[in-house]
Amino acid sequence: MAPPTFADTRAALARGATTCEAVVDAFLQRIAAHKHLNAFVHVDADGALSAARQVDWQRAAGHAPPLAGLVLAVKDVLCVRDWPLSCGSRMLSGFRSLYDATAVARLKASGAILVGTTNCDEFAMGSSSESSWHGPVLNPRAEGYVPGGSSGGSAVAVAAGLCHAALGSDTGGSIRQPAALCGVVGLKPTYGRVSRYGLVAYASSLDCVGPLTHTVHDAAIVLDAMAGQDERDATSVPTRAPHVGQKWLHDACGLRLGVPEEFFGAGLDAGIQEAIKNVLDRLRAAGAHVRSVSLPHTRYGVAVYYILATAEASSNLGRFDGLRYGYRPEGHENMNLEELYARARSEGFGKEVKRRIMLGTYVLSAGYYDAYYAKAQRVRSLIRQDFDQAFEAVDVLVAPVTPVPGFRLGAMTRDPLQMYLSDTYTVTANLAGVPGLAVPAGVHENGFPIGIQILGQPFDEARLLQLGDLIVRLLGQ
Amino acid sequence: MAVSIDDVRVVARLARLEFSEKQEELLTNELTAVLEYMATLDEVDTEGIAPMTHVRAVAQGVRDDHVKAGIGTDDALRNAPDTYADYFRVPKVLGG
Repeated sequence: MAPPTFADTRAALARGATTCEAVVDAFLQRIAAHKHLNAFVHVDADGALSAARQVDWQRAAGHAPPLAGLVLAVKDVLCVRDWPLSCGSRMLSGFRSLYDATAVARLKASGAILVGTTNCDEFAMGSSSESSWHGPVLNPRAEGYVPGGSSGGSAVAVAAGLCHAALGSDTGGSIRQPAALCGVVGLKPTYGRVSRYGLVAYASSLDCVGPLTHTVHDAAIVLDAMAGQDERDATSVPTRAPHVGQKWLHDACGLRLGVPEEFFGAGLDAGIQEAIKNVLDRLRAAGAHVRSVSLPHTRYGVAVYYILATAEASSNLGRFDGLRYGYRPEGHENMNLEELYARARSEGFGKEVKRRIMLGTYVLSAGYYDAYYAKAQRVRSLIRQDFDQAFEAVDVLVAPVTPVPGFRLGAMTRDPLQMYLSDTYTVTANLAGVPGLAVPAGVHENGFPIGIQILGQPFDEARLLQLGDLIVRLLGQ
Repeated sequence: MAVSIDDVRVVARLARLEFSEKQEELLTNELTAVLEYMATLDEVDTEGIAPMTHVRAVAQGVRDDHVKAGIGTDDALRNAPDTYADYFRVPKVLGG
């Protein structure tokens, strides 16, 4: 039996056919039956059941919270009060959060029931969910293949029906890419739309919190509940939440779609290209104006991203020194302070995190700053200009999420540059700060899911969601 | 841009990381490959282009300044690997 979407559960609750407690219990059983996927790193069965009973009482008393019945998992990079928080790293083994992230607090206040935290690449650095201290996450839709990353556990938790929705974080594609590889919906909101308070920082000028769900409607509901300004994050924006509500599209009449030619060059899998062409044909038939546009600096996106993101990471991860919290090495009693820092960090961090800290420290170091960091910031301006210019002619852009429909576990772990290049189609949205939505767009001939990406103007999530929903319906999915 | 093993050692020291000689050699090769790829940015003419430091250069808002409860001492020490009374305990910093 297919696991329920939140809309299904809501309808069943309204009919009196189930209770929140029964819904949570069913998900907990599925979580236990899918342990081998390694999607969860912490499951709070007692807490979830007790939260469910509380929502059931509220419903019985006629005070149902707006998200009554929503069962949510949270990527292990967001603080949930009193729960372990590890960021997939040995560095934070044993750490428990002292407070809720703002996104988490708002969802809890809306009645969401949290079941646990999901596995991910260490400190959200990766595209395959293989670099976690807790071991790799498996893709339920493609045996032997990675689920994508870094929010791989969140994508798998949704794809395998272990929760209604999961929160992820997207710094260079970490929500959209695993959503595509697992055949679910993933939304990276506009930078600043959702507070980053309580999200462990990777690259602060790029990090975004967003939902992964079965349906576009569910993504809209979760976004609405957590969006908005927060006095604890000075970069959160006082723009009203998108409130997609029931304003779904009947057709695509009047919609101006841009197809960025740089996203369809060499390296794009033929099956993915075919699937996107099919979607564009149907949208055209539904009334959309489709035209080719150019984002000429797209090819520099990966280089710019890995300079800026690792530079910011090298600074953000400076706080992990083994003193106030986190991993402290054996024999620390006999070390001086300098030795303790170096040993704690070298044993606490995994390979990819250390590689990125090294790269980021290098590009920021004296003599190289202008050649790498300052240069990358200038090209970032050009990448944003590309988007600004494209959006003068079109409302949204339609593109692939990934160049290939997936890769095998272990295929790229020895070649970091190849892994980085797999982020080609996702990183530019983060650099420009625009929202991006990944929705399922069919199945590849090898049986793997294919995702399509819709990119929009800042704070135009409503339109992305409307178009994403329309695509799903046009494809009869 | 070829990175030398000495560069790797200097950067590791700055980042407070330590590596075995074998790891240093591997990192030298990996960083060289990645930085060579990043040199593709040299193709781009950025004359007169301002660096983008943030997504939106918006004026920072100001809020009223109210005293609120913060994280208390007990909570702050809860995750500490080593404490003494109300303090984090760290190795000796001064002297031999």
